[in-house]
This record gives sequence, C-alpha cells and structure tokens, in this order.
Amino acid sequence: MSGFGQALGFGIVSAALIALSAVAMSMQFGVTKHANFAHGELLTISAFTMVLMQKVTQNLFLDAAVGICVSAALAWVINKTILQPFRRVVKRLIIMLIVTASVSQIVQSLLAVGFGTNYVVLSVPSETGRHIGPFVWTTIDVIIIVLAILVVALLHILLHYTSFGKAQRAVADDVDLARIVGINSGAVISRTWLLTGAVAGLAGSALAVTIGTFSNLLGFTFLLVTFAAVIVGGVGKMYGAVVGSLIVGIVTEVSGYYLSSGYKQVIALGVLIVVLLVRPNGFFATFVADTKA
Amino acid sequence: METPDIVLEALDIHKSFGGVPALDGCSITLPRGSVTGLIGPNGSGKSTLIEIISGLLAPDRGTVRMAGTNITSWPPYRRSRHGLARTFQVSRLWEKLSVAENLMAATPSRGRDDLWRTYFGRRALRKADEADRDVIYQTLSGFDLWRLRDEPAGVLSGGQARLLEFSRIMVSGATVALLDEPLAGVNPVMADSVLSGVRQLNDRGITLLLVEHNLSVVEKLCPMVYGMETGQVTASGSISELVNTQFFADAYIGRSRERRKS
Repeated sequence: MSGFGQALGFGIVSAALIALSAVAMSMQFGVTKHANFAHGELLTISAFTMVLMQKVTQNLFLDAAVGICVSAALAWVINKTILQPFRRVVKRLIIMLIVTASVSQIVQSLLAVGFGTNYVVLSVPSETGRHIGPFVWTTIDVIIIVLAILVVALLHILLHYTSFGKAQRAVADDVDLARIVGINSGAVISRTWLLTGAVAGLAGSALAVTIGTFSNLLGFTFLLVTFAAVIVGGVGKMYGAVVGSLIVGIVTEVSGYYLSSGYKQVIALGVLIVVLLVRPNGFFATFVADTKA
Repeated sequence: METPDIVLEALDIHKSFGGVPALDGCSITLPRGSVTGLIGPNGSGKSTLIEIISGLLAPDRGTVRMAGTNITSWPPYRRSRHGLARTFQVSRLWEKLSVAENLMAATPSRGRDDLWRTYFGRRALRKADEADRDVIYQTLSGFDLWRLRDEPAGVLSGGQARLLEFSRIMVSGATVALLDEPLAGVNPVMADSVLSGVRQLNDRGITLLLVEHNLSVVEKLCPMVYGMETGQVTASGSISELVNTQFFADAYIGRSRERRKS
C-alpha cells in the first residue's frame, strides 16, 4: 500500500505540473479560439532561461522568476509579431494551427543552435522526500502543489471578479460585440498571451526543477500531456483543465507503479482516447450546454 | 447657430466587395437628438453603411465624422468610447454572462480592462463599480429587466434581448446609436415595449439612426428618413414626402417587386 500511496503522491505532483501548463493553454484557447502548438516552447524557454540564470545566481526562485518573465515576453512577442498579423488576414483556424506549429519548430531549432540537442542540466539541491501522510514529497514537490493551487485560485479571481477578467470573457464569448461596446479586444488578447506565457513559464520552471536534466524538446514532449489534460477536461474551461490534469497525472503515475514507467505517455493518450469515446466534448461538455440553454 | 448641430455624418462613402460596389458615394447626416430613419430594399447597402459607421468594416473611400472629429480610421472600441453605440439585426449579447453582467461589461468607467489598474487601483475601482451598479440597476428597472438581472442573457426572448441591448446603450453613455432593424426577431406582443424602448433612448438625448423595414414604424418614430438604393441615398424627407417620389416607386413598388418575382 505504501508503494501505491507513493505513486499517488507522485501523481498529484505530476497533476500539479500538468495543471499549470493546461490552465494556461485553456485560458489562451478560450480567448483566441485556436490551439497553440508552440505552447510547449513557452515551457522550454523558461526552463532554459533558468539554466542560463544559474550562471548568475543559484537562487532557484530568482532563476524561475526570470524564466517566467522571458516566457511571458516570448508569448507576447509571438502574438504581436506573428499571430496578430495572421489573424487579421486569415479567418481559418487551421492556418493558425499551422502557424503556431511552425513557431514551435523555429523556437526548438533556435534553442538547438544555442544549446545543442543534448541534455542540459539545472543543478537543484538534492533532497530526500519526507513522509506527509501516505505521500512522499520533497519540499519542491510541496511548493509546486501549493503554487498550482494558488495559480488556479488567482486565475479564478482574475476571471470572475476583475474587469480585465470580464473583458476577457466578453472577448472569448463574442469578439465583435466586445469591440462594439468599447473593449479593446486587441489589448485583451495581448494581455491574455502575456498571462498565458507567465503561467506556462511557471509550469516550465517547475518542470525543470523537478526533472533537472532536459533537452530543447522538454516542452514539446509535455505538450501532448497538456493537450490530453485540456481535452479530457473539455476545451476552453479552466476547471475542466484542472480535473483533466488530475486524471491524466494520477492515472499515468499510478499506472507507472504497476507497469514500466516507459508507458506513461501511452497511458496519458489512452486516457484521452477512452474519455473522448465516452464523452466526445470532454468531461464538462454538459455543463456548458446547461448554461447556454 | 444657423445649421443644426450635427452629431454624426458619413460623407461620400464608397465600398465594394470583390469589385461589386455595395456603397457608391453614400452620405447621411444625423442632427443632435434626432431619430433618423434609413430605409431601402434588401441589398441597397444599409447594413454595409452601419458596419462602416461602427468601424467593423473599413470604407474604400469617404469620411465618417462624429461631432466634427474624423473617426474614419478609428477602431470600433475607440468609437464606442467616444459615444457611438449600435445593435445588430440579430441581437448580440454575451449569452453566458448574466443580464446585469452584460451591462457591467459595457459601462464607461474605462481603462478598467487595464490589467495593472485591476491589481493596483482596487479601491478606486470598487467605488466606480458601485456607481456603475446603481446606474445598471436603474436602467434594468426602466426596461423591465430587473427581475431577470441574474439570469444568463441566453435565456432572454427576442424582445427582452432587444431591451437588454438598449440598456447596454443607455449605461454606455452613448450619444449616438445605430439600431439595425430593432424589431427583427421580436415577438409582435413585445413590439410595443421595444418601440417605447427606442423612445426612451431618444428621450435621454441619444441621437438615433433607425434601419427598419416596417414603414408605419418608421413613420411613427422618424420625422426624417433617408431612402437608399444601390449604394446611394436617392431620397430624403419625411415618409409622407417620400411616398410620392420616384424612389418609392422604384424601391418599393416597381423594381423590388420584379426582383422578388425573378
């Protein structure tokens, strides 16, 4: 049983990591209506920034803070320089998908030019896990879980109780109407990207600290799991993304306890397929139908 | 002043879609406080004109002016903040937001979609919010939507949705509103409430441009009417004046009948 508890503990940490990435993606998708295949690179750039920053300071929090800023800036720049001009001329979402996939490849290649395709190392103070209830967690694990909960809570407050959140929901719902009543939809979309980049950057830093060694494909590999969580929960819904992350995170880690951990990705996508077979619009599909009726 | 105070004017507007002209030198002016009608057969360019005045479409040529300011190149949100509002043929509301929230999103204490002020100006914002809330509740009562304030806007009937759109114009502090067929999709039972809603807007001093097919409605509400045909204003005056013009013969009796047959 202790082995299972331990696996469950890992699952929760893993879910927290996925949730950070998935919540960011879900918010961005809700506002811009197209998937972002370069989402993984927002995580990667933050992780690599941390590696670079370690040459300046060993304080991981400071390194992560810079990583988050760089990732937010990258998201903002990608939107301003590439996505926004494209959105002005093309209406078809498939084009936007291809554009973001290209951005993903470009960022990956640029990282390969700068760092090579080999693994880089982020030095993290070694730490043995402590028993917390049935779980075995390191301090870093606990910090990540707390951060994930905090971020979800903050985003909830932002979306529901601030005027920026209201403007964001207005743009997500009907962008022309938003513009007509005086909401600067371009600015709202810009800031959504900034926020998405920041949260994805946090996910990237947390991921980097957890695994320590990684390549320029760090985020791209994580993209699949993020997609799985977002889709399992129901696209564009923040709580769907959280629940999806919990399901994907826990199922993969717990199954890793019984099977070889090499199957983790397979299991994650297996969960996705099974959920979509049963609920084609994700877990929270009916919820939306209810509020729309 | 000799000339009436002009709140909004569109001058010599041209717009074509793929080489086909939709507007071909169209001009209208709206005197302050007026309710001006805009009539004409389908395809005469009324909707295109509304899209261009509200900024959702850019004209190929021509000028849009609001109270003397050239706003032709302004994005829609800026026009809205300058006091220009509109409704759509099919009511557009944020269906997932509540009735009251639909109005909160349209209140004029702007700069509040600003992320930084959201975090660092909480106290000032709360005060502004409370002031807005009073206006919103008064407006909802005025349009008989008070009891529906917490319902999602998606549940409203066609007529109620229209009244919510009017409420939105009211709380936005608009000075000019373009109403694109306000009776479209409205149950006849609600038509009178919608029409009195139009009058309420005008009583508040909001200048209105009313696109409408129902001529008796136009006659009741609009002392001054523009008649459009093939992208141009070809007649103007009161309905009783227009009835005897060539425009009327062409647009409402002759050509449009023929077109309908074919």
